[in-house]
Amino acid sequence: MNRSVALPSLILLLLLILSLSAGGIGQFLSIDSNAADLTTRFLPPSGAHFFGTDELGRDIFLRLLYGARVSLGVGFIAALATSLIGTAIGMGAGYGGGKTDALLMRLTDILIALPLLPLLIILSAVDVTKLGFSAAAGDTSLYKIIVLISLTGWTTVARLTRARTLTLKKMDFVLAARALGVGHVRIILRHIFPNLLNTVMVATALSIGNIIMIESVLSFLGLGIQPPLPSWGNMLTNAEDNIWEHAALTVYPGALIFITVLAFNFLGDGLQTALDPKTKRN
Amino acid sequence: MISARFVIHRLLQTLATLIVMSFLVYALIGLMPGDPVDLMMAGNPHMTPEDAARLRALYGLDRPLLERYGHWALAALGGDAGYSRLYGLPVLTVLLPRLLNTACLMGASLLLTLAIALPLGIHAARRPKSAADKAINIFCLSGMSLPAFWLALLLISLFAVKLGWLPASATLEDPLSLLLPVITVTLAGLAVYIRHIRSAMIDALQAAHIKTAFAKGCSESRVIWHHAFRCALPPVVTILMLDLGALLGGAVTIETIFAYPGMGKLMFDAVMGNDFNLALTGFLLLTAFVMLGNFLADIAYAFLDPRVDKPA
Repeated sequence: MNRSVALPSLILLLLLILSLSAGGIGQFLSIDSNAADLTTRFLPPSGAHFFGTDELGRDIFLRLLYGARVSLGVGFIAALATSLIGTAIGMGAGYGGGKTDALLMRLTDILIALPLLPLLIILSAVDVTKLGFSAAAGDTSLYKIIVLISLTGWTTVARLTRARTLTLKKMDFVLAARALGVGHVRIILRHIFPNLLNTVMVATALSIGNIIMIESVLSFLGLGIQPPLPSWGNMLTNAEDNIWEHAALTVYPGALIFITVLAFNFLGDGLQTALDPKTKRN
Repeated sequence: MISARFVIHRLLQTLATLIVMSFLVYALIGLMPGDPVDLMMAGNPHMTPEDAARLRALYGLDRPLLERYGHWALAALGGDAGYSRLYGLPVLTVLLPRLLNTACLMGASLLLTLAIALPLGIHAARRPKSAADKAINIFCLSGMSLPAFWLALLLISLFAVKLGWLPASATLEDPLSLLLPVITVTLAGLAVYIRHIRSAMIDALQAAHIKTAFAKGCSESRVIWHHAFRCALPPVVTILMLDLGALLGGAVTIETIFAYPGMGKLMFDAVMGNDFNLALTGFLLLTAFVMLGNFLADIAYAFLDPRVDKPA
């Protein structure tokens, strides 16, 4: 295995294990990550609170781990969803050709031309009851952000898979399958899709970092994950309010975003070199 | 050279897309919670539901979507984009100064970005896989992974809180206060430019005429700047143009953190404050800029690279 992939994989694995065992760690240290205690506000790092406590006296270390769950979860699920949507649209456009292709690609162009962050801000303000959905009970911010990112993020994969499909469908083995009378659906699933996998996997890996970044930006602006559910983004919102007295609070959540996104980007880069050297830009 | 036919074709295509887009955006903004009459009701306890129904009929809010869009589009084409609810001023009066503010912030950052990215990208391209190239690559990956809003917070806590050298909020009147936001925007966008310049230069340096120039005994700096850079220009200019629209959209988080009155912060405030007219016009304007950027990118490409001149 490539050395440049080993270290980021190790870091991400560690983060995943720690975040999944956040509940157990909390029990072991007998700390509740959501319990506010105004007598223990802004404590410096100590044996009981590894990274200190925040403006409500909550343990920062534990909240960071729960935040990691949110970031990794949103990153994985949304990346998978964007890839699925993108692959379906890309294959449909590339294989269908003609009017299907033109229509789907215009749609893609339109989505690309909309400025992403303002679009996400407006989308996050959309009132779902006006679309005929019933207002869901409880905190749905986690699902909402996954849906928003999936709806807007599929264009890169769609373009990549369309281009690959266009080449693939003219290749001899596909023509041979056609000549044998194999149906379109079977050709797409058995002959085109497996050959797209490497491209899609690389694009998915490269998109996770980006998605985690977008999630943290939206949460920071108050449009993503809603408190008390901790996310690295909304922890930074609280840190910004206290920046004049307790600047240290800004360091940890941002550093975790940075390290995580960096690890995913290195991983994606390494994966690209290994699986898909042709599309690698120099 | 580029033909007039190519330009007109692309221009018409852009206009057609923009019209479709304006309808989509109009429908999207309509999905924001409530409507203007709801907001009036909330602000005035004496209004009865009958008043609300009467006002909705008066303003045409009870008409079908397509009809409302038609009315709005005709007025907007005549230069009347309505009033902003938050600011109590015509939308364009609110938007234009903000656009100028963002243009200044982003323009300064762009100049700084190019001043750093050009030499670094070209240096990396001279010896691909060398130690310098690898170092620059790591710098780029780090830059792409750095959350800009976190960088802004770190810079504030260092230069404004700890050292007290620079103010934490930025205005156009005080050039010194623009330093931190400009640095933040530059560092956040630098990596992408370095990568593009590097890969464009690597492609350019592989051409046969570069080998000829070296064989004739040209110095390396002459080959790079006179022979290769001209060929590397089209893709770099394209990226620059494609970025134009995004740049004018401002950086929502950075403008919010530095309390800088630009487009990004305005859009955010408009959506949060249910200012329908402002959000609609602002968003459409930004979309138009992105499309204008795409259009200019195509034109610039055709202009700089004589091989490209085929209407799609």
